[in-house]
Amino acid sequence: MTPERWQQIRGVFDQASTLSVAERAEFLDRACTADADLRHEVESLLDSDHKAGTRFLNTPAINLVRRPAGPPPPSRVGRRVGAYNILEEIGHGGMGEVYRASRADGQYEKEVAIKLVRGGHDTASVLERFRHERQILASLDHPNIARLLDGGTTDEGIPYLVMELIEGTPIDQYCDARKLNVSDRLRLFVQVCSAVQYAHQRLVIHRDIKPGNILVTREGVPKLLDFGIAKIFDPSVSSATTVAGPMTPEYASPEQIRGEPITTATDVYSLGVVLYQLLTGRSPYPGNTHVPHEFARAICEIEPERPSAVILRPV
Amino acid sequence: MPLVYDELRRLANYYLQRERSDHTLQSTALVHEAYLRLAGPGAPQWQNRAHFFGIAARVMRQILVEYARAHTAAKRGGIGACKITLDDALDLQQKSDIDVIALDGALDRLSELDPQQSRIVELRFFTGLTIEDTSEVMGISPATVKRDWTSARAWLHREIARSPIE
Repeated sequence: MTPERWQQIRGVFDQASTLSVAERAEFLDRACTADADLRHEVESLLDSDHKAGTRFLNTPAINLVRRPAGPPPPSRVGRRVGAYNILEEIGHGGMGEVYRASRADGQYEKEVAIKLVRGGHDTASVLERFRHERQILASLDHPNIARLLDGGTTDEGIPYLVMELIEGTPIDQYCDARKLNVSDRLRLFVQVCSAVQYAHQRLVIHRDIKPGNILVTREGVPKLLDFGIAKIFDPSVSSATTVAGPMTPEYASPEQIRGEPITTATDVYSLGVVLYQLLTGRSPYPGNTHVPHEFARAICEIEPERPSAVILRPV
Repeated sequence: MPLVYDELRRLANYYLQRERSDHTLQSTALVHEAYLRLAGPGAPQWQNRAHFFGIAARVMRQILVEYARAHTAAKRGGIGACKITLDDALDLQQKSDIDVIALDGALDRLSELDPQQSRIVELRFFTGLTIEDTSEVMGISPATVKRDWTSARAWLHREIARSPIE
């Protein structure tokens, strides 16, 4: 079919489709005199229009993407993972589930957090990165870093990490709930910085610093969770590179957005975003920034307003 | 230049809500995918609203087609070239009676007959713009969008019905 022929066909179709079925035959008799093929094409399109009904293409594609209904993965509560008894699910995220657990043989009395990788990851490469990173991460010993204690794979071959169980509140909520003043907020923040500095001196980058990963315990001690874990689970990271997409756009650095190599500066940037929020109660990015592509623009292109100026404006 | 990306925001919010509610790797991957292609390295500079929506529609189309291909490959038992297996995330064929891969091919053929009609379908279907939004973005009247849309939809339906089953 040529573009010209299509224009001719659809011209007749446009008119015919506005007519009632009864009027169409007479109209087509007149419009397609001596062109049986034209008439055939138009009638075939009218037929397709009818068959397409109201649904075809009228529901935006995005609304059609959904997970198939299936049974949820069986809970692991009450079961064993390695040497640990699973006690309770305490969280789940993109990477998988997190459980509270205790050591079955009593060798370690404290309860721990067990992070299980959710299916769908490339298990082989996760395992490889996991083996590579485990020793390094386990060697991080700092009062403000949640310890990585152990790790392994379940009987089904799912990798898991055993970490110090931290019961606390995300640093931003902690500060707001207690209405901490600037000095107290900074005192907490300095401890977080010392933890990050300690890891950086050992060439470990967190990659996903955000309030949700900085819990303050009941004793008022901030603890950084998941140090270096993002690297193990990031499918875009091969063990040879340190380029990765951001885990959390709100706190990502420009180099993470751009997919450039990650350095210790990446963590410093994220710390800056956290500090900005602790001091102003607001994001450094404009108030209408909500979705990933807007964050990308804001992070890479917009100079944040000075915190001292921000706090003078009403919310 | 302050641009209003209401419709894209709606789409992205939709992703993010899903991410909050079911926390799947798949939805995370979708978010990152769309995000990186619209804003990551090599992403085009947007000149205006029409340009932005044109790119967004193209990106959505690419992602969905790639996922549908990965889905098909996974179903055949092939490993496929996709980074992540997204077979669970994309169930378009079953849920909507739309074969995205066949639609993609049919849209290419339509663009040879009438590029404007092909663009209208991209904007309407892949970014969910209404007739009015599409008319505004493309700078043509709503009546024209509606006419173009109606015959394009009929033509595409016929093309897809005719296309051999993969």
